[in-house]
Amino acid sequence: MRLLAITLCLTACAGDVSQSGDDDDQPPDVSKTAVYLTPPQHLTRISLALRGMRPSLDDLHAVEADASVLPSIVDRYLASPAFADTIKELHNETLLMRVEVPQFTYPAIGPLAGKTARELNTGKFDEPLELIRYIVMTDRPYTEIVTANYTMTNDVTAAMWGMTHTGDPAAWTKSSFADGRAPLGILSSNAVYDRWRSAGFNFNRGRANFISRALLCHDYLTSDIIVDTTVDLADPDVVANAVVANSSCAGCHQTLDPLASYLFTFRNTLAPVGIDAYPVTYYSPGTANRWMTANKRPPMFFGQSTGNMTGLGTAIANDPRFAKCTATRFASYFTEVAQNQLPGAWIARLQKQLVDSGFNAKALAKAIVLSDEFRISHDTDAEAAETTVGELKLRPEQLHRMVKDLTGFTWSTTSGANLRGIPYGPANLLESDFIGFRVLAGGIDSYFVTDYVHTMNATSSLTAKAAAAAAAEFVVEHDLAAAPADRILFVAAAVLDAGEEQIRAELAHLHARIYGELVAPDSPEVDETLALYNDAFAASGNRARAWKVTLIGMLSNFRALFY
Amino acid sequence: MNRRDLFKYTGAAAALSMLSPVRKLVAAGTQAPKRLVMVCAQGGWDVTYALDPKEQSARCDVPVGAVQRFGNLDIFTDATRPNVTAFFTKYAPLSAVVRGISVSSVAHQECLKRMSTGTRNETNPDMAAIVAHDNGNALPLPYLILGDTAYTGEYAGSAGRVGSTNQIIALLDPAQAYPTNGHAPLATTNPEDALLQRYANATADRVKATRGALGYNRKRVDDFVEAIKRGKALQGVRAGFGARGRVLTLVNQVELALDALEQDISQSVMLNTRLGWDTHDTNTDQAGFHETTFAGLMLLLDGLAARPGRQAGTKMIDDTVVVCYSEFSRTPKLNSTLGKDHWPVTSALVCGAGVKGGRGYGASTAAIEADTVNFSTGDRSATGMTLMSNHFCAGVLKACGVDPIAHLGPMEVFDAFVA
Repeated sequence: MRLLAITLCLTACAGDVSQSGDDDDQPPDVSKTAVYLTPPQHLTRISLALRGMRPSLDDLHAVEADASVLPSIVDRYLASPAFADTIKELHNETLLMRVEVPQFTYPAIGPLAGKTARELNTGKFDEPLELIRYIVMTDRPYTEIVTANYTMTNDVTAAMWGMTHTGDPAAWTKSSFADGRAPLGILSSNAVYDRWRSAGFNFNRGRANFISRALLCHDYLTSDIIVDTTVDLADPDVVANAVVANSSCAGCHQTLDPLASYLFTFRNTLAPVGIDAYPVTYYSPGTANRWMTANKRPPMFFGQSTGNMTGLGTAIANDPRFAKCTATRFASYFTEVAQNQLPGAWIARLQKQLVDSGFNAKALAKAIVLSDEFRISHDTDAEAAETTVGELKLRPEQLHRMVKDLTGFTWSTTSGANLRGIPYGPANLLESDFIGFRVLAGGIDSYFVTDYVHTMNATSSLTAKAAAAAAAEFVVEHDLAAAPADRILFVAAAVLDAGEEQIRAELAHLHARIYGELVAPDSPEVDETLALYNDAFAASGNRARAWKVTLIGMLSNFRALFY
Repeated sequence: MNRRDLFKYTGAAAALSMLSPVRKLVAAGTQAPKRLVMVCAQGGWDVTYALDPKEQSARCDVPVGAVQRFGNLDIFTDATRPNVTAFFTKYAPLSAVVRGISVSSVAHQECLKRMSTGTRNETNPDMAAIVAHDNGNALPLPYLILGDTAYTGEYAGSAGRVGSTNQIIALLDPAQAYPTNGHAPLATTNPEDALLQRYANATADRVKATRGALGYNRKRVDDFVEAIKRGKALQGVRAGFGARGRVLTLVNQVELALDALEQDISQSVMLNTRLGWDTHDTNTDQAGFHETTFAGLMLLLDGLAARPGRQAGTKMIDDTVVVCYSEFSRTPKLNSTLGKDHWPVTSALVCGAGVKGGRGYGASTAAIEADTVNFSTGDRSATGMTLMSNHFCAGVLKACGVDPIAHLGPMEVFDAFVA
């Protein structure tokens, strides 16, 4: 991809923030007419945002009794495996690694013979996400995502790139590349450069912009430019001259190209058809100086010499934009507010908190979910309400975890389909694009669809209902056969109980679990759901079926899908 | 306040008054509401292969072939590209070629966004999403996305995708649902669905009385209720969606699109040629891609011409606009690997209802630089303006009977090709 076209002054961007933010004296940027969530509602939003799971009844009751326990509950959530999943999803939204398209699916040959397409793609593309997960969950400084001298592998990753891996083949364990590459965290990752391939004569400019966009929130491509069409973009020598001498090009390329110059050690691209054996060599130190004949710009980070490639990660980590961008990305993800719509003063405070915590990502997440900006329910002013995001929609991955946690059910299948001739294999239908419904449910495929849809449409509604129907079938049949102590959802009544008192008690329990509503069995809310149950029973004469219909209604309800 | 907000809060008239009086402004479209089919040649086509004929020169490398005139429309053709010739032989009178469209970038996603939405923001809806919303929002799935990339913006609730292997059918047809862990999902009956709808509506009313009374929250609740109705309506027309597991080629997409439009499932459809247009190496691959694309366009236009329109005695071609476009074009010159790289000036094909076909509009130089154009006539003019992607998108919206200013803001509309 040629990027000869971008204007704009990076120095302005580089110089407009201090490392720890400069707006910490400003008041919270929240509307005066904003209404906040109740403590149980706030807990529910926190739980879903951080874990994709509804809060337990114990936690709901604890918060209702004393809201001051919220921070300690947050700490527990931050240590949970579900938060680790969230961290990977949050970063995938930026890095766009989880692709399921033929041109990125490597062959199942040699040591990887017999692997499914899904295993191959996960093994390759989850590696940088797993590294970030490890850093965050072990409380290491978040800056290590660009300075770590290690990464994570499972058996596929290890075989693909020639790394060591021991233990459970599917488990992700700490490892490192054995070729002496610079310690740059995710920027040392072959997978990152395979996902963000470079067209031959573009000389890593697309990759450089990816790094700038993802880690500094500076996207050269958003700049308004005037492309000089007198420049022959097909001639590398002409381009090389233009990006230095032509003013319409140099504005961006004077910083973009030197950043790209760090990356000549990585292959431009490697199509699956070009692989006939593993491990694959993607890193070649001998080509580090190819910039001398390519773009002719020595490696530099926005005008700053870093000595060598090793210094790149440190330079990024020390750039104030890195902390600000991290705060922005986290806040945007957790609030479902577009990055450019987030209150600047809030981001500045979060940036400071991140830096002051020693770049602890959990501390950042905690600061976000406990903030006023996060706990807005709605706004009573009509104009302010237009931009007040007070109903957050579950992403498909969150929907999966919520349904699994509530019902014990994972909506998955084993497909007979082939992806580039390789059996696709078992897949969670809410986390698959090739056969599943991730995109149809409003998610991203990290390639064609790169923005979540935070509202419902026909296909997301159908997906939610289908997932609910499958989960309802599973949990009702399970609890029908299980001993009382082993039931998953039916704890206040058995499936076949006919007494209204027991049914109401069970419905109140379901309201708490599925909606996070602590309501009495004789409340109007339960009346409404009881009417659904009674009508469903009247229609079929079958209590198990009536419960299944009721659960479909609840699991696909607005109160379940939004928070 | 962004441009969209400006219009929301001050109205188009007030915003119009802020413009320079010397700028030509075009108000609301006067065309009857149309359907829109967009065919995206994603990856960057080489306009010298058909739409924007050039001569071989020191500044431009062209493929084998020659300029052929179809009435007043000049197209670059060759015997090795018979589908291109056949298409224009049959449909040139309905076809307008718009040339010299400047996208001001050479990055795929950025240009795709600009050519699709007429804006620089991926959160804005593309032309098909706008037409679907304005002209057919009561349909079950106003905007059907069969291709890969589409921008739905604030009209996301009106849009839907079928998935890479047409897996939407697994949601529409219980017989094609996936087996999941040995547990077949409960298939609800129509009476049960009515109960579920009533329960959902009751919740919506409850939310609208509290958190969802206004603004963003209210829209989410309304979308939730509407989505259930749309989903149910879609299940009623599931036969049109074919079988699960089918990877949709352009031909497959055309068939689905025609069915969806004819059955009034959708108002707009986004298709994708799914070809490797990004020919940095071996630019001659463009010949085959053009052949496949124009075969698909022929199938599409034939279908539109054969199937009944919404008014008695009409055909679908009488109320449908078709746009075939690419995010950018390719460099005039071949590179050292006989490929062509990215180029910020492109062309597009617009045909169907409401289009003054049979000629080209806009202009580019011998080296595919955007030339200045008279926006009223579409002719090259030294005193004219450069045709930008937003001007082009505005013209398409107008051809579809949508007020472009209401969506894109006060601007010049390139409507020379609009009947």
